[in-house]
Amino acid sequence: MATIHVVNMIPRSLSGEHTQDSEPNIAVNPENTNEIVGTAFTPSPTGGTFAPIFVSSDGGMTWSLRNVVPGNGTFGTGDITVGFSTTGGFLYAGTLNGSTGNLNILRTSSFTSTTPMTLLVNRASEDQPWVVAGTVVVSGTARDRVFVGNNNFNQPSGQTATVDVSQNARTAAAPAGFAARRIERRTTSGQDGPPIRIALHTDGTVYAAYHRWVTASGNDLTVDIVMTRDDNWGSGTSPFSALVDSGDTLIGQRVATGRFVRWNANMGQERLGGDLCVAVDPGNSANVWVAWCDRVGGTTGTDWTIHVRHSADRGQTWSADVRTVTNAKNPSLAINSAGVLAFLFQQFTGTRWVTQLETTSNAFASAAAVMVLHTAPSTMPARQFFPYLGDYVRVVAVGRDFYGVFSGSNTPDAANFPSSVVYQRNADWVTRTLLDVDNTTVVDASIDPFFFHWTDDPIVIGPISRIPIGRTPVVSPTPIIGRTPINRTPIISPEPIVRTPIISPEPIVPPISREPIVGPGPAVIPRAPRGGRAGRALSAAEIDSVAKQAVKKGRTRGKNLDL
Amino acid sequence: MAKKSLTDLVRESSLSFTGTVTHVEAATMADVPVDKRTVVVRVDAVLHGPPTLRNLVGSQVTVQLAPRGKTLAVGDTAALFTEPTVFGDTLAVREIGRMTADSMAARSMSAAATGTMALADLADQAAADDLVAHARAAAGVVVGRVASLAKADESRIVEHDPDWWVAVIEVSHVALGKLRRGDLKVLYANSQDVRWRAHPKPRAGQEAAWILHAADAKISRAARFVLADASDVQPVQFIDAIGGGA
Repeated sequence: MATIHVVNMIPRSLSGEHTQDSEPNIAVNPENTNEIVGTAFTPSPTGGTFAPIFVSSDGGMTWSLRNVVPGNGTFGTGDITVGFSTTGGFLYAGTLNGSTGNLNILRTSSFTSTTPMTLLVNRASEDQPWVVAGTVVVSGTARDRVFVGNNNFNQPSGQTATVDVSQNARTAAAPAGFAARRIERRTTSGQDGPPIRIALHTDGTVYAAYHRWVTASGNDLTVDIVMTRDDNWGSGTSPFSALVDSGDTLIGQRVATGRFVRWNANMGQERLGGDLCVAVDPGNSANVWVAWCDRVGGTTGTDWTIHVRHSADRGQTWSADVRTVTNAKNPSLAINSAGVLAFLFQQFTGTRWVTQLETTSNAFASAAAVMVLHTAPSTMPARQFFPYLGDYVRVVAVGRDFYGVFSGSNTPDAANFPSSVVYQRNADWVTRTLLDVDNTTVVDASIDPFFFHWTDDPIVIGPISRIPIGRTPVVSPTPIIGRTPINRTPIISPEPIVRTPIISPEPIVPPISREPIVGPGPAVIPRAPRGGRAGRALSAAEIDSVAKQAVKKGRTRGKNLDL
Repeated sequence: MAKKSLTDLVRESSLSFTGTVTHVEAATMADVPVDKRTVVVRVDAVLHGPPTLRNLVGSQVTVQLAPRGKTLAVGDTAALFTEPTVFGDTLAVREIGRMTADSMAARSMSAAATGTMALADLADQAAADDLVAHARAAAGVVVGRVASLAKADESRIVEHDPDWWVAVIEVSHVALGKLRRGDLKVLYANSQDVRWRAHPKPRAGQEAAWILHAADAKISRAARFVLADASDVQPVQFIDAIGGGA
């Protein structure tokens, strides 16, 4: 039976934050799924010139922030997405620099490093970079194939849909082989739409989908959904030309034509206009899926409808809609190694935003399995800027598991999280209020990023109870002076928590207890070997022993402290 | 470590606090590297910092001491001027500079009485100095009232469209720059998009000191000047700070 684990990504030390952390993104290291990076419109908590990424080293159970992204604006970056290489743990990011607005493509060899990411590409007049990365071994050397979809207004003739491609981005100096490849070949209204989405298969097949804006009258657009494909990692002089339309014989198969979009229409407090995603079956690169949004009702309509279609012949022919969702946005698709399709979206009910994950093994021929991850009133909190929730969310598959992110109201109300949730930040679930690090000062509700992990391969790795936990404090073995009680999150699920299998070849610090902790006292876990990782956590007896020795000696040395 | 003034330390750090060392060669989070200059400090008082971090008292934070300078032992107290590097279950910070805790005693006592942070005034002054520098580097600073607002032109349809508008400002006083009194057109981004939301949005009739920047060639057809920063609208009294008073 599949299980899901939802985590609010704001760490406890930032319990006082109340910014609008919308438009999340995620990358999972395929070599070690404990290593995950998230992003959102999150500004540096201390200002400065670098925006943060969210980092988890324990499979998404806990998160921390590091200011490593060049260009920290009032709300962080202007856009940001991330992708890990298949091997080697290299992380790539595509951003709109929060200071300049320029497209930046960034790289780091260490996702936990506090050293700023390396700038590889810096280009003006751009929108919505979307990063996908993979690795191939050539002559014994790992080469990262990195693809960054973007809406490039520097392209001629309004053919703006573009993919920046590097065949070997891992170590080279800027621009690390990146070159902008125009994938639009038809005439447009003067530009294409913002989302250019990419799906990469290990056999070198690369799909890139985009919105061709055919006509524009004010904010009313006629849009084609176009799929392009490259069969050799986007290499060569004319990449993404493998798919020729069966109708007009031009490059790029049109999945749907003549769709109506009213740009910047509103739904709740959110704006609308550009929703698109694509996913390829890791077991068969011929199987590809796409989802997008348009207004079925046309100029007189009010809807915003997600359409999901698939192709079994490498994008040449397409099904009719196999799933539609009315008044919903942010579709995201992924397919796992077992052929299960995950479909993540956010639906507006008129009074609430509902974030839902559906899974199907038969292309929705029968009812999909449905998990509601989040549901909250659409009027609260008040919008700080557009986009309210984001112009995208993301779900990715690694092996049999799905990992995803979405943004939503962080009001600590158990009814908002039907699939359970874990908060790191302080909250009082009885009064439904957020609390600052002092666990006393009330903090306004805001939009937060939430991580989730879906698995149908349960391996319980930690004794974490999912039954409601009383607020009885657990007292740490050594005293912390002056620490006020911490109300950790309520744990709501009626089922035991199952953790994911851990693949890391190295020792992993066991997950931090989700139980409420009341100071005083740091738990002591051993110091990492020099240049290496932290080791296992000590048992309670060992902690007690270490603490006693420390007190006796009047000092403690060589410890990582888990407070 | 070179001796720095308190003002410089506040300017160069984003978080300062007095604290007591509780552990050495230790960290509060598992994925923070530990070496001989890594210590854990209990925060006794926050001296200055962003609002999000002002309630840290009682928390233990990991401090990576500056590469040179005295190390600290368990029980030592200090005023630490830092830059946070990891925001997790707790904080990890990098030391920028250090003073004795005693040197902050009087300020801390005074701050405690008023419910403020002890060095908030210095941080505010640093921010004010930055604002003055920003204004002096601008194309002009004027005092005036908004006479009218109008959309500049048809914008390109992009998610991060600034939605340029033109405010006509009746300039009553020129504080800085080669400008004249009378009507002056100024561009501003009216968009609520994340990229532009923080930029100034003048209101009809609003009187203020306006910090003006030369408009980019792409948009200067509509107006020569643009409000390009969240701080470009200030109370009229701001001109006294830049020495541009009448």
